[in-house]
Amino acid sequence: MFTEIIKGLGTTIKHMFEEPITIQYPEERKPVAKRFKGRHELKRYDNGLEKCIGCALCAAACPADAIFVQASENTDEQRFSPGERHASVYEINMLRCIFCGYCEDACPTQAIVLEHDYELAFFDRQSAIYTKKELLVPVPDGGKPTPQQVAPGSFNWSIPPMQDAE
Amino acid sequence: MVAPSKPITQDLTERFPGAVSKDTRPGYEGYIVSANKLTEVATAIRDEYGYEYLASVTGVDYIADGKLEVVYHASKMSGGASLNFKVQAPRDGEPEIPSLVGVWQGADFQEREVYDLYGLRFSGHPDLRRILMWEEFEGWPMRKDWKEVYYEQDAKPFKTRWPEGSVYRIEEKNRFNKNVRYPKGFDPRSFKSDGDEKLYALMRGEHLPEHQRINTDEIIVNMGPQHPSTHGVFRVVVKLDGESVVDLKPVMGYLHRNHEKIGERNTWLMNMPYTDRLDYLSGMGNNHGYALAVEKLIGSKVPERAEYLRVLMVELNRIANHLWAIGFLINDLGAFQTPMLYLAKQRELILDIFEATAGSRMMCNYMRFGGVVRDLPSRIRDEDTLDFITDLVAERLPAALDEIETLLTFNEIIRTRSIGVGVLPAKQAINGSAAGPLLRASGVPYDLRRADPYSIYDRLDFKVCTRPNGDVYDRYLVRIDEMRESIKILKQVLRDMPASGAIMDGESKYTHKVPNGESYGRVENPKGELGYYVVSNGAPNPYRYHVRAPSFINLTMLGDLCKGHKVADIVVILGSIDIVLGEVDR
Amino acid sequence: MNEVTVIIIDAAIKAAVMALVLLTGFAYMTYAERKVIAGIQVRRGPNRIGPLGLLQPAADGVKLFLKEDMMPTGADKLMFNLAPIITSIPALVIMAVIPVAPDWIVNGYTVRFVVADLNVGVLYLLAIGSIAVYGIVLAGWASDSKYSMMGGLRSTAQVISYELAFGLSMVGPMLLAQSMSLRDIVHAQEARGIWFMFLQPIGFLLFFITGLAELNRAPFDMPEAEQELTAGYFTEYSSMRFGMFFMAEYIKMIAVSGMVVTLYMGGYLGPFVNQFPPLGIAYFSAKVFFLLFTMIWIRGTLPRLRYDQLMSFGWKFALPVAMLNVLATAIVLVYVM
Repeated sequence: MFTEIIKGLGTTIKHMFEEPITIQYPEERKPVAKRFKGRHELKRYDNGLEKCIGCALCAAACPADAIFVQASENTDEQRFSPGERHASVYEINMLRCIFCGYCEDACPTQAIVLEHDYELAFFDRQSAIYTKKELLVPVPDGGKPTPQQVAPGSFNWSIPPMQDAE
Repeated sequence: MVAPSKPITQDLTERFPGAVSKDTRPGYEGYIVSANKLTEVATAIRDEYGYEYLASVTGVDYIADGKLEVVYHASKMSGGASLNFKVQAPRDGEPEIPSLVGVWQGADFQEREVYDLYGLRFSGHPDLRRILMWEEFEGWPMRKDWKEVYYEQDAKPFKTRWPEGSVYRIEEKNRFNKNVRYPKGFDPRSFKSDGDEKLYALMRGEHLPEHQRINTDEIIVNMGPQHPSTHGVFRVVVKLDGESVVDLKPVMGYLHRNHEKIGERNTWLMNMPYTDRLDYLSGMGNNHGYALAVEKLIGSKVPERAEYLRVLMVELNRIANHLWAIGFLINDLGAFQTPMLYLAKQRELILDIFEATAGSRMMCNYMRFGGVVRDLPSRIRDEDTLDFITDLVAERLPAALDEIETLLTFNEIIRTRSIGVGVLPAKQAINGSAAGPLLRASGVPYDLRRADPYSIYDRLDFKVCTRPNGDVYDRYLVRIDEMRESIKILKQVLRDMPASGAIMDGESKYTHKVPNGESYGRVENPKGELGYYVVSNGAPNPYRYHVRAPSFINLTMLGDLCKGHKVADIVVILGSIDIVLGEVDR
Repeated sequence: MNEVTVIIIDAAIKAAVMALVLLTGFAYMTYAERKVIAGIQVRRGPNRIGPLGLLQPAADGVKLFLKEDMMPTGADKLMFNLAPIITSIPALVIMAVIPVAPDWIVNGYTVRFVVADLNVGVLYLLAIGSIAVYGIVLAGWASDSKYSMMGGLRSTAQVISYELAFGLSMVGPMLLAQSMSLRDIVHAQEARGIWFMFLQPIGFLLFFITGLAELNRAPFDMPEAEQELTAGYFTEYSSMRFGMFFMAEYIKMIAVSGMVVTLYMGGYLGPFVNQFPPLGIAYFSAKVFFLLFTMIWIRGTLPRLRYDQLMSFGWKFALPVAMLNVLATAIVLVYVM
């Protein structure tokens, strides 16, 4: 009877001499996987135009009703995205989002992508509603900020053969 | 209960002419039994036809026909598909049908749930009280004409989101008290809840004759809902005589999230991430069960590689779940979290595989109807994927299991605490609809992967692990055995998986055309038989969506298991049944 | 200065030093426990507050002081307040008779490294140990709560049952040294040249195990297990009253370790201790640290015994074995030596 207990004690003491596996957060962070579903980001093309065309397929696919999309017309003087429409209001309620990834799968232009940021904390409910301001990525190098003024007829197609930002 | 020597093959409609008829609605199967003969037919099904195990009891509200229907699924211990029979009652008035608790004890909690959510009474039920809602709740939530407080529309996606996509918040338009119903004469200022009085009176035995009532040496104590060891918000009301338990009743519903009604609002595919959150420790298994149930209706054929990927994920999840369950059981025994952390170290690697493949560690949302959503990544944590998984399965996990065996299995203290505690005899386990390791530790070799094979389990070579005694120690050993069998299955899967191939049957889409009908899809989850009963009427949303939760039904046995043991054993027995509150309360 | 003043000042200084050492020891015991258990569980313990987390006990102390001090409405005020005091004081006082080093003659004045050199030291240890039980009983009863009362009763029953075997295990060294004074027991080990733990292995193991049970430590800590009816007899206590119970438990741990070391492990004995007596403090401390480490190690490894198993272990196994041990020692001493 005692021998088993002594063997058990031996096992635990062996572990004392191992390197602890604790990661000292927040000084060290464990890198997440490439496909990790964290905070959303609205992507842009190489030339700075937004990929989102305001089709609201993501809002239709979302199981938790977290996304609100309001679409408006694009004109050549004030162009936000290629094609006819862009999203003038795009809000994600981060408290409702369940990070399932359906919006990412449903988007025809790969505009909304779940990136790696998981440190999301809020002090009140209003600041949990992320608008385009928080979700849109910054303008890539070589691109121009939106709204852009373009030559008429150059970006008529919603899903054009343009370069991705990365 | 008489075990039949040879189950009779006469069809039920001939055996009970006039009382039983075939269900002829398109897409439906099974029999419709008239309510007044229900007990007789059920006893015949159990004794003469050999369906000793009641798998599921579900209620459905057919508001267009003015009927409430209760659907029963019964299985044989020798395996095979389940027998499906239904009873119908009118919706209005005070509908009542006979209770089947006398035939199958496992119907106990499920009938209380149908009463609670639909308002259908069961005559002859020993303790018909609400189970998931609180006692004074007004209304029957799952009926089709009951609207929840922030009700917008019957089905998603809501018009306010798509296609108009205009922004307003429903809280501004539908203020709080529009749909809340209160009992007659309710005054919130003078209301005092006495919902628990019924329960305590039952425990004190006030319904019994004078000489059988509680004598003053016994006390009634509540364990929970805030308790460090009840695996979540779960409450147990215990009648104690000193240290010994005289009677015990579980009280649940503290985590009830109305999962089934939300399931009726979601589209078919939108429900998939919600199923992740039922038994949140085995998300892959939950996805699998739901996908199976709907694929039966749609009739999709899952490609080979997708099947292998599914089994890979489900078996890894089984190991992860058992590691956690054993860790918590030993924690309940008092070993101060040391073995739990050793096991958690291995579980972290499994979760890394899930993270690299599906994007998140626990709520993976990995399966779709007709396959899986993504293939394996090429690298996990800077190692080649297949190397990582093979190393985990062939080297690390067996080594960890061996270490745990040295540390725990022959430890004298654990043996004294768990051998002979909470013994569940095999007959009572079958009659009480116990499932999973709880059933197999009592010596019943019933495993859905062998009894009613689904996916590619008929090609895999593995044992069904059983143990003879049915006490806490055996349940612990069964889980360790199952982990070793899962490792064997994983080795075969890694060997036989086709190197490339389609992972989805057809295009991926968001609205599915699901033909009319009902289907009951079930899988062997680590906790037991997880079943999904879905009814479709051709709409993009389910008409009825019910989850047969193994933890919920395993709890039927808790009262009987704990009688006669000490207070300290309650926590140990609860840990050995291994419940997860997300599943118990949905 | 006359004799009496010298004695009084001498005793006062020693008592103050002992109390200070015990209180600091208690504080760093909590830190050591967390660090050792973390090491067993392959993680780091506290390492944020101060370098290597060494100021963690200070932070815990401040936290305990600043917590809200609650008393249940139905509690008996006097008993409720008295219970932690009755538990803590015996814990502090036990170490008074334990010698930590041999006498040191410095400048013609003999420094005795023991606060009170009683010639009935063992009896004193038993007696003071028994007083601590009253604190537990009062705490459980005065809290006016079903859980606390049950926890208090269980704890009391456990402590009283194990005291028998605990006391009987002390008889072995007493017989071997033929004296009840702790200093004589240490001298006897010096004279025989061998520690009593090798002469009386069963007595040593039994003393250590019943000591764990006396302290309500794992694997005998059922009365205060969180997994049971919350924390047992000190459920209703908060802030510094809880702090005093907490303190009493850890100081008792140090005291019991001190007893085991003195009775069985040669006390302050070690190489060169007679030439330079303060070395005795170092040897004594090292042995006590080793025993404390073992207690923490056992806590991190073993699950706990159920209450009825614990009681049956105490009555049906520990007590008969202790009695047989005493009998065997007596027989061997009379007939062989």
